[in-house]
Amino acid sequence: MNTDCNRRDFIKTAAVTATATSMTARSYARVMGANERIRIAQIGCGGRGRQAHMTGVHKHDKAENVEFVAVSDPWRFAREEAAALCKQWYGTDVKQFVSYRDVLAREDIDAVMIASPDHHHSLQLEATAKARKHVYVEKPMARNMAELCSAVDAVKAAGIVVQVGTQTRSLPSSTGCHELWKSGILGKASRIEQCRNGEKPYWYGYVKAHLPKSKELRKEDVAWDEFLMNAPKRPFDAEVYTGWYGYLDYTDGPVANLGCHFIDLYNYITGVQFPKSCVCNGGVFTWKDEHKFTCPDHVEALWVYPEGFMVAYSSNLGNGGGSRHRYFCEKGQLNLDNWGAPTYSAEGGPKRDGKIRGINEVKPIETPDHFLDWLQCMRTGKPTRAPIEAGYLHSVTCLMAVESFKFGRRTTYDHKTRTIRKA
Amino acid sequence: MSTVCNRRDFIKTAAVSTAATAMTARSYGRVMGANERIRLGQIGCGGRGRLAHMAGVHKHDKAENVEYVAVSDPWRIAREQAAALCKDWYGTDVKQFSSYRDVLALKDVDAVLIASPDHHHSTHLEAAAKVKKHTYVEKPMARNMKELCRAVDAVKAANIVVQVGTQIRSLSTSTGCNELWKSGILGKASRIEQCRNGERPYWYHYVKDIKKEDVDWAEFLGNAPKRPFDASLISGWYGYLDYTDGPVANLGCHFIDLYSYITGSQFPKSCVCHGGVFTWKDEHKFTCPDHVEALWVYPEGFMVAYSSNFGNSGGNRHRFFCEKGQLIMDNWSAPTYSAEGGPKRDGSIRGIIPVKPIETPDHFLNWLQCLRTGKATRAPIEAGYVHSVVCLMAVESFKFGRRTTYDHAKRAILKG
Repeated sequence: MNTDCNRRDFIKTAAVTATATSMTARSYARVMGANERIRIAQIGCGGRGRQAHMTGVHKHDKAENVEFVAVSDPWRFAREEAAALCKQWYGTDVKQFVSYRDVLAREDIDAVMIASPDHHHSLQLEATAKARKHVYVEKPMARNMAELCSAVDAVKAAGIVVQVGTQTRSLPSSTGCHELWKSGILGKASRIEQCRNGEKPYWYGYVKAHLPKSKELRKEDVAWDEFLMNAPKRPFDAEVYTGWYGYLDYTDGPVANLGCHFIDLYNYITGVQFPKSCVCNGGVFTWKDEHKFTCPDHVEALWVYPEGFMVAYSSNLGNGGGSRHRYFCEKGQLNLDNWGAPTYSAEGGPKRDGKIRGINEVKPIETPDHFLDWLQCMRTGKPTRAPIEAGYLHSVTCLMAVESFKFGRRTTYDHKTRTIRKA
Repeated sequence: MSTVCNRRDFIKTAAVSTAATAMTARSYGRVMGANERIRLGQIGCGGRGRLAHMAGVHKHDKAENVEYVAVSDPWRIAREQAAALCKDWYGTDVKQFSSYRDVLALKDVDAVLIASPDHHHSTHLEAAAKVKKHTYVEKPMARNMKELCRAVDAVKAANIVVQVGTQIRSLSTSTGCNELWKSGILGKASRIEQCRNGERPYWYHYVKDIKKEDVDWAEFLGNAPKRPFDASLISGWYGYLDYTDGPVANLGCHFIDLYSYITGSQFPKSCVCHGGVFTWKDEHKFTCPDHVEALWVYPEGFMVAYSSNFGNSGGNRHRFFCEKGQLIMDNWSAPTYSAEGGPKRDGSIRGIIPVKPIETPDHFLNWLQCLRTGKATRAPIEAGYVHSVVCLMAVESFKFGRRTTYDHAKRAILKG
């Protein structure tokens, strides 16, 4: 069985089509007027929704003339917290909904931000596109090719302005790395690698046991079916709800959930497109307990690219040592151990030519933050920093690993048929 | 299709059976008498044969009463150089052959050292066992399960004293690491990793001009595909998949053997492997991947990663990541350990501590001594079987794009 999307007239490459979003046809989402207030709704009001999305937009709300007008979350506590933020910022009582459907049904909402659990992303993105609202959508963008393709096709058809939530590419240092890469000073890559390790899986930070008493998750406060959505039916379980990062029913684990930042970043920096093939291995080794988490606490994926290099992403949550993030190249290395302060050197490059001396800081290049870029693009109609094609690319790359892990087969990708195949 | 060996009565685990070699039955390889001179034949007289094996044995030849009496190599120059060493050391003219068969046919050879190209190892080992000569055999020990099982079965039947050429486990520091591990101070491992990178594949270093008339080409080819004489193939065989399985098997086997020794782990549960020829494409048309990585999952609950990138020499490291800290083998002759990163670190490790070396006979000396004592060698045939299975799981995964598993009851590598 191959994961296949049948619509064949998809963009031939996922490269950014620079002019696609500046249009005015009525069937398309509106480009916002210069003085028009942009009305935003938050879909998913957990930590990511409130502290990243809402706070990130709030920084710019006066300058950019935007305002949150509605929030939705299956958990009453989360949406009330989000509403309280809006009250504090705007003095208004925003509308609160259990379901994203109610948000999308409203005509007084121009754009939404999606920070729901991973298994909701593609469905909510597709629904948003169909309702012709602009969208900022969290990563990873999809969990299987069918949903990915439906969402991407809906976005293309609606011409909405999409920012995919891989915000690391909007760091000034990332723009700097991209320019450095284009200069050719490092030559061809042979290996791009991130080891992102920790002493404990990140999902432990979210489980109910770690919530303060005031945030106790009660069954009567949760719209359980709204949370489950297309995931397998099961009875209410507060651990599952709060700790969804640790369960394969709702997420694809570390490679997709955090590795997608790494994937998106090298895609942006080097301009590469789809891998030729992928293998992945791992398991639950160190953290077996009453939570019965199913996401691997140690996993590594290896992709081979047609340009002739290998990419490795590993995440060992059984020891916090050994983290690193490097581009190993012909003429040296790009060191992203701290991706906010990257450096480069001639270290190890078999074709180093004396042009790089010592360890150099990558010069940052001023770049609007990821939220600001989205807000600006809604008015200019210009492509966002992480357009839908970038989301498609990180999703395909992640899914190649997810399928390889699941089936024990080397996976390949056929862009003509938008299919992941098994060796 | 799975690679399977049918003989089922194989050792149930590959653990060292410590008493197995002390016997005197006539059908078995002879335990050498206390004052008896041990006569050696060198099979394969390249750099490894001359500079490691012969020089390694020569250090002990007086004390251990051993002597080379024959050498073989398909390349005339190599065997003449080996013979010249013997002349220099013993003042004798040793017998020279192009084929290992002639060495094994000599009644006055008690033991052989095998340093032929990788595709000969299991064949030479099996043949040596069948003529009941003790053997020191280079790694990796085999290139497929069938040949591996035949060689191992022949060795067990002949009960010869075998030292497998994974000599790193005989470093004093390796013994120290094994003791440290057994103390439990580091706790359970979650990841064991070596990144062994370089600016250029090691096989480039060996390519040289060799004259056709000096080479017994059929003897070099052995069971490899027939092809016309080519100096780059015989001198640069490290770079061609017809004669070797590339970096994971050829160098990674040292890493595999070492953690197998240190931790006592046996067979992996599964393996995936990926890579290709990326950086070094030229007139040599080398087929071994210049960048490759294998990932094994072990039933004890940890992952092992071996990667080798020859497109940039940075990023080398060799670590055991554990619950209570790390064992750092970046320099495997000066390992250290610390509590770094261990989620269950308990204060019993403070700072970065050198692993205490424990005096250990070198790998050659150990073999020579075992020839007389009949004791188990440091790297017995079972160790060679383990490293070979681990390597072959990666080799087959690389080749077929499938996660491989291993069934020890059937001695079979299966595709997941």
